Amino acid sequence: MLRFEQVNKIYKTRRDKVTGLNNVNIHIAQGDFAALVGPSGSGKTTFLVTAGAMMRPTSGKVYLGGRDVFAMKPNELAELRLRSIGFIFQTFNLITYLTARQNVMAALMLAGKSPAEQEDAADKLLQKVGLADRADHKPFELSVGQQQRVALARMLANDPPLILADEPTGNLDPQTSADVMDFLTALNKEQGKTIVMVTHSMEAAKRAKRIITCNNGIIEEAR
Amino acid sequence: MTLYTIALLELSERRHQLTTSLLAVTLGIAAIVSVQTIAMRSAIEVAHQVDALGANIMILPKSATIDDYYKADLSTDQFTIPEAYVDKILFAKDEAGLEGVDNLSPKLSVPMEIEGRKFTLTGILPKNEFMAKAAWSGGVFDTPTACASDRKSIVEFNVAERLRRKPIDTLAPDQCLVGAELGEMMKLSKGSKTTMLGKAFTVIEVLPKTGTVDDGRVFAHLHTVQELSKKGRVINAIEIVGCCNAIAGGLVDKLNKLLPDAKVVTISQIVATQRTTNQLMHNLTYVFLIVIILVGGASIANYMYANVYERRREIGTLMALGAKASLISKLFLFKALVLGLGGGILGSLVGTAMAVILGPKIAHIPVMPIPKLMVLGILLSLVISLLASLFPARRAAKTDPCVAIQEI
Repeated sequence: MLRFEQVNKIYKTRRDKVTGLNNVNIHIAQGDFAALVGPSGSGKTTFLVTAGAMMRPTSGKVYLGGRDVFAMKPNELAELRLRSIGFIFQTFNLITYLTARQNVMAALMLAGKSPAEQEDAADKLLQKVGLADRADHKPFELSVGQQQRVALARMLANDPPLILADEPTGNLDPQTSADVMDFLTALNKEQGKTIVMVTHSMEAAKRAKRIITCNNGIIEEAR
Repeated sequence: MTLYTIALLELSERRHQLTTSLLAVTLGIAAIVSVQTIAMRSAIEVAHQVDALGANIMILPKSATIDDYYKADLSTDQFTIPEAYVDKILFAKDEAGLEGVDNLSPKLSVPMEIEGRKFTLTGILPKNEFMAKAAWSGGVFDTPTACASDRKSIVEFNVAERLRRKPIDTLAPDQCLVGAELGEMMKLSKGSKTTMLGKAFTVIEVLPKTGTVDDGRVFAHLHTVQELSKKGRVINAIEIVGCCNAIAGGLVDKLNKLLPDAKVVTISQIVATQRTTNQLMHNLTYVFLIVIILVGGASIANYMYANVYERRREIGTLMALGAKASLISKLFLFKALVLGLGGGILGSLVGTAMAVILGPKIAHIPVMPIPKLMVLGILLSLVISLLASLFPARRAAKTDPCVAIQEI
């Protein structure tokens, strides 16, 4: 599903160079659930945005579904993100002036669905995450847990085979965190979604099939 | 949900920023539309005023002055020019395009004495004589296209004014028109018979009082007057009603070149005033145009840049979700379109209202809305708004999607 081959990422600042990824070689198979753990600044997010076709590595190759990701043109990369990758953000990244339904519809709109199709699909997705009765609420009218559930519904809108989650429980209370992890685990087990999750929480990491550690850009299998 | 829904929802959420930017565009467009509306109405009004004066160009013998003409003091032979000059102007209008000659009236004045008082017998050429001229192919009696389109119709003038503006349609060799003062003195009325310089005439009209020298004139056919004066085919002057815009545009120079042996005089002061006023308004429009481009454009560009900066996480999120760069550009250009359209419509309405209210106070003329200008104002606003948003939209499209994940 996702393969990194000798991937390096060097951030150049005015005075020195910082290593984001250091000769990373890893394979995440279809249906896998990998948790990426490590201290801040260790390269976890760099790994995630590189896997998400959002940041070009300094060297090396990244393959997604057998395709060389960074050999693609910008529009093809956008199409790849639209069809194959679902993002979950730590801060949910909901659009503040749109309602819960409209936030989900926005992702469907990008896929070219008609407004009627968008509305129908958005309502089903919100029902799936238990927010059917909050469809017309704007993010500030929802609790953080509800906001993350809207973000989960939006992530699932275009049925991506790969889910990249950046600290999905980082801003949530223990109970909501557990709910979100239950949801992700179910997606992995029942729908076969491949999940790569960056987390600081060992509790959350233990729910994954694999734990990968990240230190100074070096990625190693921990479990 | 469409791209446009997202843009409109976002605009409605940020009303304060939107209002400030909209206000800048509205004021700029309002300034342009109001000044231009007053300027255009002023030009039309000046055209009316010049038109109302009757003839504004005189073609006279080289040695004559305009005073000589008005005093009817051109009776001596040295103050004549050939009638063939009329043909020259008609030919030139037909072939070389003497645009702006609205009316042409050759005249020959002969002094006469009735009951001890001096009057003037003036020969004029009726319209049917122009029609008979081979060179004439129409157009000289029509208002030229360069003239104000809403100029008062000739039928709205009374017969005395009409005589000063347009040739009378027909005039037989033994027919005459009598000025008010003369008609009163000689107790003449329509159909009366009278004898002047030994020739019998039938009065076809006693002209209403005009308060001009025309009140003491008798108008007869030019060729009859030429015969009576025994001067041959000569005239004293050709009165021309020139469209004032055409005069400003060099009609007098063209006539001077065409008739080097005659003197072409114009009511230069009026023309100069009109030219100065119109030029001033015209220049003022350029000043406002620069102001709107700088202030309005800068305001929109600033609004858009700020919008792109504030929305960068949202843009990054949309890109992470699969939005293409072109879609992000469209999103911002659509916002610019809405801003431009809103500012343009409001500006055109406010500008027109300002012109209608302030025009009579500033320019002392009645001002009516000019729909064409309002449409132009909206188009200008759209163009400025879109141009000012091109770079911000480009910057938005180049947003790094990683900002969706970074802490902001």
